[in-house]
Amino acid sequence: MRLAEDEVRRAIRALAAAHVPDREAILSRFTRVALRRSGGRDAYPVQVVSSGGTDLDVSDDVE
Amino acid sequence: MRDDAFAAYFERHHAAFSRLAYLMTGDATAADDLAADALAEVWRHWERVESADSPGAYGRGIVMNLARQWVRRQSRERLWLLEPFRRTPESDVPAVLDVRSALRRLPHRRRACVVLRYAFDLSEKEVAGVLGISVGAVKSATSRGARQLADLLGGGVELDGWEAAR
Repeated sequence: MRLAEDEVRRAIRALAAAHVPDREAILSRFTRVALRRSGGRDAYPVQVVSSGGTDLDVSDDVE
Repeated sequence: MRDDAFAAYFERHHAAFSRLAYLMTGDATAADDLAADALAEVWRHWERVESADSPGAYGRGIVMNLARQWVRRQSRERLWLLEPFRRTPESDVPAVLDVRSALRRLPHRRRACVVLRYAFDLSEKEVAGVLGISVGAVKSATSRGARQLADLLGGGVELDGWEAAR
């Protein structure tokens, strides 16, 4: 039995919605990588991002 | 100004990048790592990203490349074949496991097209831009990928292992 296209679409969206990104983990690794690549000179963007809010509005990512 | 713009970009896209990476890799931890690495790459090329027609698409393209490299590494190390179902919070849901496993079976281009079209509602032209392929190739890969997924999810096909990125 083959699923209908709409069912496939819903299944993929459900899988995407099941994943909850960890903002702090992303920020932490971003910080390390960005600093390493700049040789430690480029900390300012990290500070700017770090001061951002922690609200995770994913409503426009995946319905 | 430059830093404010990047901070806004980070807040707007980090979750979507992680979800995109998750759909392409099936690994929640790797997804966050790849999102972070993509954002670091975006920052490194910020002037180019900011002046692009679609800064978001630029970042999605980086995520796709990083995800493909990750899958290739995993396939080389055969980790996924030995451990196809990693324990993650959502892995108790059979339907989610099935979809994740089915996505693994798709070749990279089909998986990418189906994910970008179905999960992120990108147009065929936008997908073509992200992946650097023609609109015709997007149509073909999406159609074949969706058909393959529909067959896999419809039952009768054993879901294990991964299709190596190619």
